[in-house]
Amino acid sequence: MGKGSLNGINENRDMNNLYLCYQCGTCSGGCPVTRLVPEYNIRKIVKHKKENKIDINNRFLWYCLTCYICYERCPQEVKPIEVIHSITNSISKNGLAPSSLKEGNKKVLAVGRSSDITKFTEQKRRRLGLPELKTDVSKDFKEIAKITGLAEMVQ
Amino acid sequence: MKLAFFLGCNVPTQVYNYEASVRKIADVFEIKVVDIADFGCCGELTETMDYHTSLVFSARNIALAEKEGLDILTLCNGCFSSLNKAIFALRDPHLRSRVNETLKEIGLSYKGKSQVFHFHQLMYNIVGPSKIKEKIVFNLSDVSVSCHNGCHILRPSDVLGFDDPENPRKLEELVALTGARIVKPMGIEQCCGSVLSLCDLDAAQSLAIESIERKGKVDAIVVGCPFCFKQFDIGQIVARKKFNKELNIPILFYAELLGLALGFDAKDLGLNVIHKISTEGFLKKLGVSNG
Repeated sequence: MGKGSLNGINENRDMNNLYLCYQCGTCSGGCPVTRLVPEYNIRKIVKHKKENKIDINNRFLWYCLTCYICYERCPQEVKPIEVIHSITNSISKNGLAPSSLKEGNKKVLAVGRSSDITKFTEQKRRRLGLPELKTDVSKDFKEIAKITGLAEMVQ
Repeated sequence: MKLAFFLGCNVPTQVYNYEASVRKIADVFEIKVVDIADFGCCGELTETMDYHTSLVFSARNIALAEKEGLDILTLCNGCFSSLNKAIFALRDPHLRSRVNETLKEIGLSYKGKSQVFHFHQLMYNIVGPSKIKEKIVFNLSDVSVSCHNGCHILRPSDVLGFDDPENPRKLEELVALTGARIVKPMGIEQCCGSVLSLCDLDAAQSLAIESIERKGKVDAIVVGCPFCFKQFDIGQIVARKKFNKELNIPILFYAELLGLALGFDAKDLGLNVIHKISTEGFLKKLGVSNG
């Protein structure tokens, strides 16, 4: 695989309909991001995926809100959001996910949640009559991440 | 009825006002919520990085509930959608056996026996409007509110199947039972922008502000997801500081609103904590003390 290309890897999402896309633009037309950030264009990403022309250094590939509007409206059931995820998954496998996302996932591997139950939170929870929770539930997460390779991807 | 209480990441650490309200409401309707000590992240944050790992994380949580023979109650839209998406995907026997290979290493196995409900779904589909109406002791007709469902309770609709993916009505119906007046937002509901804050904070905040502005002039916006809550609540502080925009609309979880209508004290529902946009004016309009 040449640098900057993603030819044919990571197909564990349902992309059977990718080649049915006829570029109608319903996806990008309904996308709340594209209206605001035109550099993110899901129609073009699907086109580039079909043509094996994805540039993995394009930071806008990470701009999907996961609102699933494109998924609902696509007349060909291409599932554009899953195309995006398959691309970001491949990029992540190469260790190139955005640092904010790596940090979030590191937190999950560290405590089992994406945010901490701090001493302050514990106090506030008690005042509301809420039960005490385990502050660290990370054991399984660490084990799973080691097996699946996520532990390396977040580095 | 007994349900495994799935709090996920954000509810117990950042918006425990939502948790407190739901625990109180569950008591009223004789629903026993069971805390499972080892519940953790639902897997949502991992999906864009590694789908397989996110499925294993989801399946792990569901397997813990299956061990207790329980269905799951989620409060967060993110948890609701990722757990349900996993259940849907793991109908595929090949994928299921791959996930179970990994789960075996931590002594668990996913069987696909537990269902996952969102709190709004529990109230609408299982408790039901007529039972809710019976328990309402305080009419909220002095306030007008606009609803925000959030994307991940609606879509993907073929997987979640709770409400119409673009013209939802169930949350509005639930809110109407409290007596609060409903104001319809302009156009279709726009995503709160939360996920984008990982990559482009300015764009994410613009989306949040736009989404709030589409709700019109209301006394509060009613939400059901911690991400929407934070985007809109903290987002208004950002709007004030960064864009010189004074919106000042309190953001309430549906559970908080329902809690008030069921006669609970505002402070027991957490209405005086966490909220960056004060709920005081809203409560004053209802003639309720902020504690």
